[in-house]
Amino acid sequence: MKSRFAVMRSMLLPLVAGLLLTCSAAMAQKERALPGPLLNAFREVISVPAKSTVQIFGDGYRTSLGAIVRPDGYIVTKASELKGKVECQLPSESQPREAKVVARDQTTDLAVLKIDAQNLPVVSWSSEDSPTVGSWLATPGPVSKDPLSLGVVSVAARKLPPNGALGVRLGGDDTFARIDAVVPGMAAEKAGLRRGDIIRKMDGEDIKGTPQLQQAIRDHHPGDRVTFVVERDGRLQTLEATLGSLGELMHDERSDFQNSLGGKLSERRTGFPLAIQHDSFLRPNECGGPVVDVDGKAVGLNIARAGRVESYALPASVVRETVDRLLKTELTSTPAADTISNRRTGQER
Amino acid sequence: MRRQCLEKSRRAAFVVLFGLIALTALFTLAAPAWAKDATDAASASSALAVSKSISSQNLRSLLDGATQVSVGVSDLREMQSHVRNLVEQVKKCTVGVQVGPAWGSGVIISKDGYVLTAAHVADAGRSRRLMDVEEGSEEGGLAHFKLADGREVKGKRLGLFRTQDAGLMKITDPGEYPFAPLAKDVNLNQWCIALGHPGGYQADRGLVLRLGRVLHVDDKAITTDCTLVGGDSGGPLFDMNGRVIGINSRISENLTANMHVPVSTYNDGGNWERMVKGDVWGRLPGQEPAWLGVRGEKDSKGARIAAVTPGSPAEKEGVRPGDVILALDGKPIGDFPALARFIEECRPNESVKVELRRGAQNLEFHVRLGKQP
Repeated sequence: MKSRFAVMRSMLLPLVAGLLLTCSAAMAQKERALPGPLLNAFREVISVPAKSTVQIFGDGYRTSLGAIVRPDGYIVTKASELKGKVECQLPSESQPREAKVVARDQTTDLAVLKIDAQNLPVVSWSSEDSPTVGSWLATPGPVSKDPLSLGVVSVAARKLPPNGALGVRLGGDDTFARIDAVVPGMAAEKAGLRRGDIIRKMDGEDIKGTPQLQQAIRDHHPGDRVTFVVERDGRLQTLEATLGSLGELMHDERSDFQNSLGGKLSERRTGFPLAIQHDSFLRPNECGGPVVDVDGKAVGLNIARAGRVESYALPASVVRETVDRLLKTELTSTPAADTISNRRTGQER
Repeated sequence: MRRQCLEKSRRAAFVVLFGLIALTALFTLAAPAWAKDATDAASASSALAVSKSISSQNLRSLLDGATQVSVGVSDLREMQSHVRNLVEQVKKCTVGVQVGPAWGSGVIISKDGYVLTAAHVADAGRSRRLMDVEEGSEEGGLAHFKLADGREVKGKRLGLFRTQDAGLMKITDPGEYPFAPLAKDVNLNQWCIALGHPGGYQADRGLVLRLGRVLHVDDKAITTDCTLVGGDSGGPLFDMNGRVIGINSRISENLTANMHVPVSTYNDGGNWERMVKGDVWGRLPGQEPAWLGVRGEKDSKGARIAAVTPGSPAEKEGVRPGDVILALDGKPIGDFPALARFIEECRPNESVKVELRRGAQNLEFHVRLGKQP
């Protein structure tokens, strides 16, 4: 009896306030294998979209995948994974090419890159980008004929609000917002905010009450830098905070731990205007590329690995609209801008 | 020797336990599928429509667990269609389970609202010790169920077979509920879907679907690659006919290590009747029993200590043979089986207040329980 318990090492799925025991699964396989009988069919499904799937590198390491969106070398990918010297490798080539980051959009976490190439096969987007729960989703990979990952739609497209958090308990009402308590170790404390401070402005905007301030914070992502003007002892002070996440605030350690079982998560994994949730296994550096339906059409772009059970894709319409807008204006939507290069004339689409 | 003695007293304890904690007896005739003749009863009266049949023989074989078949893209489309329809149906029987502040999942398996879930979900709100539960009271056993259409109904915990992490609950709001039929068997490589509320119920999200295959089956658990996480506990694992084959229970590091309680557990060897009555027995997987280190005298009034195990927590705190334990943590202890039951509910490292009588003296001190060696 005892030896059986010693061998078993799995965790009971905890609830919000639940148990966490360990026994092991003797029969677990190393990886989540693709189902053999389906492989031939799925190879057929992804053969075309795979040609429009690229790899993105940062300082020599693969950071994400991407999708070719213009034949003259424009690529869309996940913005927050870009770092250092950015390069892009086409599926037909063995070496990456230099890539310029043309534009970023923080709301969608998309970035458009430009490589020096012509006549590239553009990804074919599906016009039905709201697949129902249970629909197949296949992620083409950069190298293999087999899909990189397979799954189904777990939850139909929905808004995923950002989860920026400051780490304060607020007092006040509809007319003013006061800090009643500062949560130790979080953004507010690190910024030097104190109990009793009355928050007068956030990023230049007048704060007219607690609900407004809460909403304003909630509209931000973890990592965003926010400037506060506070009234303290009759004087105004300006303080800058780098927001944390709601997860930190809630101290959901058990949940965080469980979600880390079975792989790393994307750093930016929430705060999307619309996201299709699916159960495909993806590594963070496997996001950013197209995810297709059983007809081989891209219903979206994988945008995040968010947990043990969840990956997210931005629907095709969101990606297209964002890319079109970015290519027209080449502006970023956040103060924390990356280098913007001007468009060469004559490349208008 | 001590184990033998404890075993007997445990068995005796069960009888006593049952008497003590009989919750409101539930003489229901609307028991789930296996209590009557399996297929027809459930199918006939079920509010669920069994998913429409699949035209491709290859696909049918695949879904049942065949691995040497090859399917084409049209089969993928048919399978997708099948899964979409299936989910629409089985969602109706799948519930969120809220016990106190904790969230899990469950599945309705009878018209009058029996809900299968995990023992650790049903148990979540329970006060630590069964002995704290007044006879006939439902302290800690109340729960809320969230139906897929957004309705919330009240319910209660019934019995738990903890060793297998099997738990039974019941909706107490009167009504007829959509329920899922139960599978009679499970096949390796069979395709299956898991539903639940990972992370707890979220109104703007609802149930979350996972599709996968049965990777391993034994009498302890069905293992699948339907990934699960906290909040999924107690939720259903369905076969491709919409029958419950398992109940989500636990995970390990690998993505393929997702374990479900085989549905047969709920009916094996009289388990169903015990759970309906409200019996709670066994210990959760991986949970270590606490150790005091005493043996009791059989047939004696009061919890008289016959022997103290050398090196045990009891010995360290000075418990002696002949001592009669009067109370633990303030709870009167009437006999040795009651003492055994109490310790059974404890965890290693817990500190317990002991009141005992030694000769003419009454003594009181604390003992820190250990782990069973």
